[in-house]
Amino acid sequence: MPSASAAASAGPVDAGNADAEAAEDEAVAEELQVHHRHEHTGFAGFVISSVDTVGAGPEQQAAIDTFRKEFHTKMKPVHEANIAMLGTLADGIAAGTIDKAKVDAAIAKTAAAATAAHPALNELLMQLHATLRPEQRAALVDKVDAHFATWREANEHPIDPTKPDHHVKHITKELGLSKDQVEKFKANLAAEKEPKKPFEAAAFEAYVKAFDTEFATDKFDAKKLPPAGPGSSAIITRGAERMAAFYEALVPVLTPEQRPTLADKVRAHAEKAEKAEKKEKK
Amino acid sequence: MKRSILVAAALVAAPFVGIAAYSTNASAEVIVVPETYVASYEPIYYNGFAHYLYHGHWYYRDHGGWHGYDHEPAVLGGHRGEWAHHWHHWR
Repeated sequence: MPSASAAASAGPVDAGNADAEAAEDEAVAEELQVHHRHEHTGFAGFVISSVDTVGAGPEQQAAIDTFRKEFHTKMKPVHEANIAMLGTLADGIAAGTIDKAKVDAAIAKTAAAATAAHPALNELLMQLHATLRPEQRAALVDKVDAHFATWREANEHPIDPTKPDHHVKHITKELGLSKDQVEKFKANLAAEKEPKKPFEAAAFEAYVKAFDTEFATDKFDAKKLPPAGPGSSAIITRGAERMAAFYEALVPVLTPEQRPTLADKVRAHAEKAEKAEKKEKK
Repeated sequence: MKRSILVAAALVAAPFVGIAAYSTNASAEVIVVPETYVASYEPIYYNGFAHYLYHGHWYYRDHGGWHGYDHEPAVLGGHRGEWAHHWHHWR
């Protein structure tokens, strides 16, 4: 076997390669962060997103397909609540005023659905563990951690308008915002539009840490994990509130032509989630 | 030229960050495999580890740190051409 204790031979990198690599890093980060700003399904969301990229052999495909189907059936209330929340937000964007009470109610429904679905998620995790090989379990743990870290980067802290932000950059490009609009949008973000209370991460961190340790072992018992329902519910609430605050700051600076465009884009996120769910259930 | 790597033990506390210090060179190269990359790419499984082709080199994680190769294993080399298809697009 080739020497595995040594680093890859990273020779001098020319400027063109460095630019291409930086552009690739940026594109990967932007796409995943935008995903995590619209997909608010808590720990279940991190798991199914990780399954999407864990890689299954042909001999595992049938079991993975069965897992996906069952996952989407049992997590349906969570996904439906997330889709409804995005729909409520899109309606407000199109109308030029986001109804905060309606959005908050939709967020609360999503969080409650995630808490209620957690026992079913535990059963699914056992099924997934039995399907995966040890190296895939380790990879899945890395991926769940990576999704949580990206979620934190995208949602944990209020947007600091003085620093580059992937979502601001993305939306500027997507809507063709003028410089003046971007400045006004950033001023709105700075003016207490974001939820300022700190995210209480400890309970969810403890759950993820326990999951990492247990899932990587040969004998995984999800019932031994600490309760994750409240923690998962908290990250759904935090992420969704932040998403709503982002659009609340953006909508007043948009032209009447830009509002329906943005509403359609938010609905497209919801439709994508709906299509994926229908596809899995077939 | 022989290059050896020291993977910092401290990386256990900082997953996805690998530091490679080359003994033949005064400068140290910091290798970072971003979380967004790990989350978005489907790895190649080789020798019991998930491998990611990042910035032209293969890396795998073991004991909390990232490791690579002096010489690319042929099995992994065979996957270079298809690697772009391992990116899962989230939109």
